[in-house]
Amino acid sequence: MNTKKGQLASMDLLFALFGFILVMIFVISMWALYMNRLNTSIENRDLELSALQTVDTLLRSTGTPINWEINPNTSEVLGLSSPDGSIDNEKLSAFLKLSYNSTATKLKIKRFKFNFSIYNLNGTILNSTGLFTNGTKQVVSVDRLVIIKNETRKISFTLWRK
Amino acid sequence: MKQEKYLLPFGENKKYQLGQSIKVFFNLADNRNSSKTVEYGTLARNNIDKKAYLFTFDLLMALTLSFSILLVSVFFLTKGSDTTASDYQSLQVGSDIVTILDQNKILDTFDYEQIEIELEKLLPANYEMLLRVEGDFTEGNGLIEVGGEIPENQPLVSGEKVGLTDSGTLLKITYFVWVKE
Repeated sequence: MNTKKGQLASMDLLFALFGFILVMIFVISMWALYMNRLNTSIENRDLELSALQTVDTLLRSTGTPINWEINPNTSEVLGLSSPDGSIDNEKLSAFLKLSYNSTATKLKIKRFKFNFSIYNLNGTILNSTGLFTNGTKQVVSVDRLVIIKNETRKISFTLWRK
Repeated sequence: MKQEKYLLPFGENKKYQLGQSIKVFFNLADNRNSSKTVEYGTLARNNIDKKAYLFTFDLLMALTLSFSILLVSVFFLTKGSDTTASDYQSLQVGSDIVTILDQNKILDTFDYEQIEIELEKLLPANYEMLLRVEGDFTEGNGLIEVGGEIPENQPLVSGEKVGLTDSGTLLKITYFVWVKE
């Protein structure tokens, strides 16, 4: 009778299990690492795209309806451009007076927090709406140059995750 | 390579210690009576079923394949588009500057120095830009270039716009923007 066969098979199983568990630990940790990187990359791109698209919509479109500044609460799409391409001062004033939630809803960026500021070329802040960042990791800021009342101004739109 | 198969003398109802020398017999038809002496443990380990090893190999191959697919997917997802938000931002800087110079009628002057002064006022500190204005005008034989020199080993973005002066001259404006090193 061979009494050692069972012990040897168990040793073999143990070796195989040890190898398997090592490989699985490596694979799971690598998987988690890459999934984390992928998710971060997707989140960053989402944030960047949202910021760029929001600023483009604001500065290049007249909004819907075209005279939305008369009754801002009924506006569907916010846009600050006048038909000639410059910034319409009345639309800008109406935009700045809108509540934070209303602006975020109409710009379709409720899942983020934002700040919209206007500076002169020296960097002095002239007007602002929205919140201010406080140590948030993922922040995207888009700067644009525009003409408001025949003066060149810098618009800075900052977007970050809640 | 020819594989040797052994017959263990288990039928003798003996117990062997690991490392003990035992005599084994070749299970080959042409050499049935040959035998050799080996250590019991070595022989036994070589002789047991290798199914577990095969399963582990199978698992490793499958994992290698699936992991390769994952790595390739991540690579293509992250490198899906070479145009980054930063490039787009640089392009917007150039586009905005050209639009403002055009709207403020700076380009209508065809004055190299004035264009350069206005360009420097508008250009953010961390960017450099070259502006090329072409058209049917006498200054510079219809070509004005204002701004920095295009770097040789640095990525840049470029765009084109057209403008019309008050005197009716059509301008082709090409701009190159890059980040300062």
